[in-house]
Amino acid sequence: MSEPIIEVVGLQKVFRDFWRRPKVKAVNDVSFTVKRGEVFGLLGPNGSGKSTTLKMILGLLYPTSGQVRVLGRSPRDVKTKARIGYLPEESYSYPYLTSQETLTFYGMLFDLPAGERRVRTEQLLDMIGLRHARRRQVGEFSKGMARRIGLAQALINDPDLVILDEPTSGLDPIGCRQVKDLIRALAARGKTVLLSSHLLSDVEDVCDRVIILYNGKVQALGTINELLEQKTQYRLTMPEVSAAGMERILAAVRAELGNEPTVDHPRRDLEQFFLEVVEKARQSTTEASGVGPASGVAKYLAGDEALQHLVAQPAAPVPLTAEQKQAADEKLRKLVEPSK
Amino acid sequence: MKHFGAIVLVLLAVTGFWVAGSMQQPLLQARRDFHLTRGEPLENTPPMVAFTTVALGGFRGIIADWLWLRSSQLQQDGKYFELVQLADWITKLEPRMAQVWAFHGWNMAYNISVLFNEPTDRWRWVRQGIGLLRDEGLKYNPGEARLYRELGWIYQHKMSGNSDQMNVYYKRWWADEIGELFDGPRPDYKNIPPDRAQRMKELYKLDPALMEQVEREFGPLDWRLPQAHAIYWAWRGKRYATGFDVIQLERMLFQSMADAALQGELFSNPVEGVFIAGPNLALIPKARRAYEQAIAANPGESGMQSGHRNFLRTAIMVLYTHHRLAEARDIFDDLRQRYPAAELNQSLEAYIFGRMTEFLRDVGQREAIDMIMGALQQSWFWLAMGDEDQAQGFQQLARSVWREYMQTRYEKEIAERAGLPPLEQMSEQAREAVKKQLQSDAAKARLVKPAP
Amino acid sequence: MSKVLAIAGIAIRNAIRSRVVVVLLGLLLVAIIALPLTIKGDGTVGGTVQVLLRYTLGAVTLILSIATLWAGCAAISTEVQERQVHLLVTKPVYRAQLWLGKWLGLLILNAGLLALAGAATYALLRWDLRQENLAQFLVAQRVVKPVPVEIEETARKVFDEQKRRGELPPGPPDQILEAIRQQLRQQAYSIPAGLARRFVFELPNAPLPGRPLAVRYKFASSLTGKDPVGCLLVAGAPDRPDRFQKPELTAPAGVHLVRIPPAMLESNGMLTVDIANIHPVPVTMIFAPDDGVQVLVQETSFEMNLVRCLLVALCQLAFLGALAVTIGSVFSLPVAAVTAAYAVMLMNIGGYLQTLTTERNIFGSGDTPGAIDFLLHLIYVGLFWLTKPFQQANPLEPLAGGELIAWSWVGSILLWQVIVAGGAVALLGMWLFNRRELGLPE
Repeated sequence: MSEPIIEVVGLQKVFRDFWRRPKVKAVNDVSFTVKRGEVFGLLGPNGSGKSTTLKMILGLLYPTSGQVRVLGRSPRDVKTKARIGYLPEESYSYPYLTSQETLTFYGMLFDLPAGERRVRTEQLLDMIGLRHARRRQVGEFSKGMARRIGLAQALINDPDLVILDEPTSGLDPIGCRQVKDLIRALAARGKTVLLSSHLLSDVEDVCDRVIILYNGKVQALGTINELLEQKTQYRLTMPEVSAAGMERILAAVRAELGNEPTVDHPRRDLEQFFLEVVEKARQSTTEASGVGPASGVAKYLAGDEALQHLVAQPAAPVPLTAEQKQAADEKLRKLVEPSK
Repeated sequence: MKHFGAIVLVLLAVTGFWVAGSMQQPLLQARRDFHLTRGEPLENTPPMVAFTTVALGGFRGIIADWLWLRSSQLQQDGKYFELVQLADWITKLEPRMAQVWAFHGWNMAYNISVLFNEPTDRWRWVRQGIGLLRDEGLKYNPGEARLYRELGWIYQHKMSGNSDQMNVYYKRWWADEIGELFDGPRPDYKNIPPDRAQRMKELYKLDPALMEQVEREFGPLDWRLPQAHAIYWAWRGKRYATGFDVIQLERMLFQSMADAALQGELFSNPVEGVFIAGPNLALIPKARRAYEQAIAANPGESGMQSGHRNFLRTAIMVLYTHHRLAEARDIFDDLRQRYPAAELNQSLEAYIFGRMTEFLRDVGQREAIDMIMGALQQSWFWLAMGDEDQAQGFQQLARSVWREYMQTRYEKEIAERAGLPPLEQMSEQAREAVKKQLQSDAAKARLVKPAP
Repeated sequence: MSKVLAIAGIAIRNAIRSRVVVVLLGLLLVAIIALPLTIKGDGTVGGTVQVLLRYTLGAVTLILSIATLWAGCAAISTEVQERQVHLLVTKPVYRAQLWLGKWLGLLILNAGLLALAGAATYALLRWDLRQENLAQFLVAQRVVKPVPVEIEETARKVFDEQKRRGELPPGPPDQILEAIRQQLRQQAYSIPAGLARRFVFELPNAPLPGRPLAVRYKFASSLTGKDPVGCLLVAGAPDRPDRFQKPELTAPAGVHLVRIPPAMLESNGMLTVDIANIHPVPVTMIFAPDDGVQVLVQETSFEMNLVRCLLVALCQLAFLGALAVTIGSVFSLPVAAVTAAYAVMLMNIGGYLQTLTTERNIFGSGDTPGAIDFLLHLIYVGLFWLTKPFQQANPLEPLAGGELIAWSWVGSILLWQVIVAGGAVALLGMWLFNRRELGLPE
């Protein structure tokens, strides 16, 4: 967590009308820094200035005042852009190009040599599961398929900074999961990801840190844990116990708190459940759908062996590292052992 | 009954529509009857014209203006190739404006044609002008008298008249073309082969039935000569004419009739290479009638009367030189009665000699010899061609001139210095000259017969 | 450069796949095939050739110009509208490259369509008039103007002489000098009855033997009306015993062509033409100094001329494309289209603007021009000079007229229309587009 990838200092954007009169202050004194390897979430309701901020980081809009530096340079610098991958909110591809041509075209804009361009195009098509639709024109695609093409083009240059605007919008749960896995995988390889989203659960799943904007101003900034952890409450999760055992535990808690705790069965994550159902169904049928079986992450993106392993089964729950396990155990112990 | 008012209004509206609808036909009929339209309603409009007139709406005028500007510019620059096309478009954009057609037809036949040195080029443009008016303009404006007038004028003035240096070429080509079409001066109306009738109608817009009517009234016409066509178109236009056009077409009719009478018979002999339009004496009475009718219909037009007078005066001379003394006398009496003048208070012979004397008074010896030799040669020539009337007429003319000239130079001294050789000697010379020019033996043989 | 090519390639591919190209090709073929069916020539083969060439190729260039304007305006503005441009400008691509790519795509498409249309027109012309001998009409002749008569020095001499003798009329010297000049010019280019004038032509490169040579002349008569004037045209070196002679009775205002035997050309490429006014009635023939008398000499093949003509047309389309892409990179499509149409209109009324600039009293009510007149005058002068470099010559006129389209002309069109005017428009477009923010809220 060393060098800053995005530095935003005192950023302001005032939109003017036809007569150059100030109309709206869309972004007002926003500052934050995104560091290498971070997955950074930009949150906010519609009209909060989130999209404007993103466009200024991309160099589409120019700040009224304040400063944006991306990868140490101005966002309008061509050298900066060579290292960025951008997935826009909607599909902005050329409808008359096939998916393969689309990727080849964007590859050419990065001056990729022909051989490398071909390899990456192939791998990306495999990754997004559109290998079978490589010769179909993007204009005929469903929204989900178009998003996948958008995602693929954002990664064609193996970017150091990936900017994703509503990355999971328009995707089915499987696609969402894949994208989230991909984001994590990229982060694990030291890439920096900046994403904006409405889907808070997605943000929660993948982001290390988030910023919440409202009315053009920063309302909250921090890690997910910092922001979401309710330090004044505990939740206890444990395997099934006998009624007598349960009664004993409750008695202990009652004695400690002086009143009744809330007890229920933890519910499974709906996303998790859905993915399992689909996986089961897929094994029993071979019928092709719009999107073919995706194969994790493109090889050139995954880089090393470890990461390959990590993303080999994207639909399965991510196994915890020893460190994470230890942290979880620690928490649990604190909970179970009543304070003496 | 709260809808009562609405019902009454609806009924009123329906009645109103019904009344308006039933008025439509009588109104249209009345418009036709009173000649309020400039032409019959257009039927069978070609899609191109229907499209431009409807689709372009008010923009037609602007486009037509622009094309017009371009065409004048091109004309000025000497780039004539496009002008036919431009004129076609301009007229199609404003198909119902007769003056547009009139201008472009006249412009081609008169202004553009004279920019060329070669007679073939000029003739092409005269034809273009005729074609535009006859084949297009009248198609869209069949009831537009002005277009008949403009068309007739090209025949009457540009081709029949002699203001254009190349008019002889036009006459020749036209005569060749029509002569071939009709196989002679006029078609055999009783028996026109269908393909010829079709060519007449399609290429020349000559309707045999109408031609026959024209012939009955004004003929026999020699259609190889342009004045016959001027008469045809003027006659056709007359039924649509109102106001100024009436007089103009009337004038065209009698002037062309006068042309036809005075030089309306084509004498063409391909073997001798002869192309001469001579008088058509049979038409003189009809031409007189045409004048008389026009004058009776337009009593205020003094121009018509002086034209009439000149025609009568010329007709007398022509008839006299053709040895038609009775007819000449008849016209002379008519002239004397209608337009009394001092010169008419004498005998016909005296009048004719008077006119000649007037002409010969200042003529020198050289010119007198030329004139007499010319008349004598004409006389021999017509004899060779088998027209004895003409031969005799010219013979008479030569003799009169000789006598008249010598009368003022009777004194011996003057006669020796400025007198003329004996007439017989001159006549012999003329005969030799004519003989040398002739090609066929038959014609030469006729020269030997009677010494005139 | 490869990025520019990639963008151009995408533009072309889009145009082909969206069937724009097919529709355009269809329109062009309809114009090429259908127009000759409706065209009325003047009844001569030469006229038909001219009208056919001018109208079919005129329709082709018109269709392509309109298509270029529209497509050029749409090139960037629709991408901005549909936000495809967001993906382009977030890639390492300079906006200038984007501009160039769009323009290049348009140019390549135009070149292809123009070549096809040119070939189709040529084939159709050959086929349509296959029974005629077209060789004499399908020509490319260089038009040579006479060596100008020296005016300036003589005028000064006359002026000095008058001054020396104290005979100068009153008035400012430059006006007197101008009057003398005018008088001399009029003397040099008019021929009174009974006199002759000599016109000397310097042919740039001696034509090959047997290549046709002709004198084209046009004059005004001092008499009103169009009565022809008798004149004698004599060509060849003055000391030659067998000079070419042709008496003609010539109509004024018409354009006349007299073929001259090629042998009359001197070895140094000079041709002397004397025109004598032999009209019996006193009438003066008045020639315009530049196009009064000209010599036409066959220089290259018609096919070569056609290629040059199409090149000139392509240069003009290249400029139109640049203009449209620039306008389209600043405005949205409807605004851009109207702006471009207005700009093109301004360029095409250059001649009218020029006459307006000479008009001092536009409202024409009083004798002294008012403030509004002055203001309007300034505007007209400004507009005239602003649009002057962009005013387009029509290459179809010389092609159809059988006149040579010189390489130097093609070069000057390329230089002025494409490099200078197109470059200026391109720089303006790139600069404006670079300043433009994308993704502004609607």
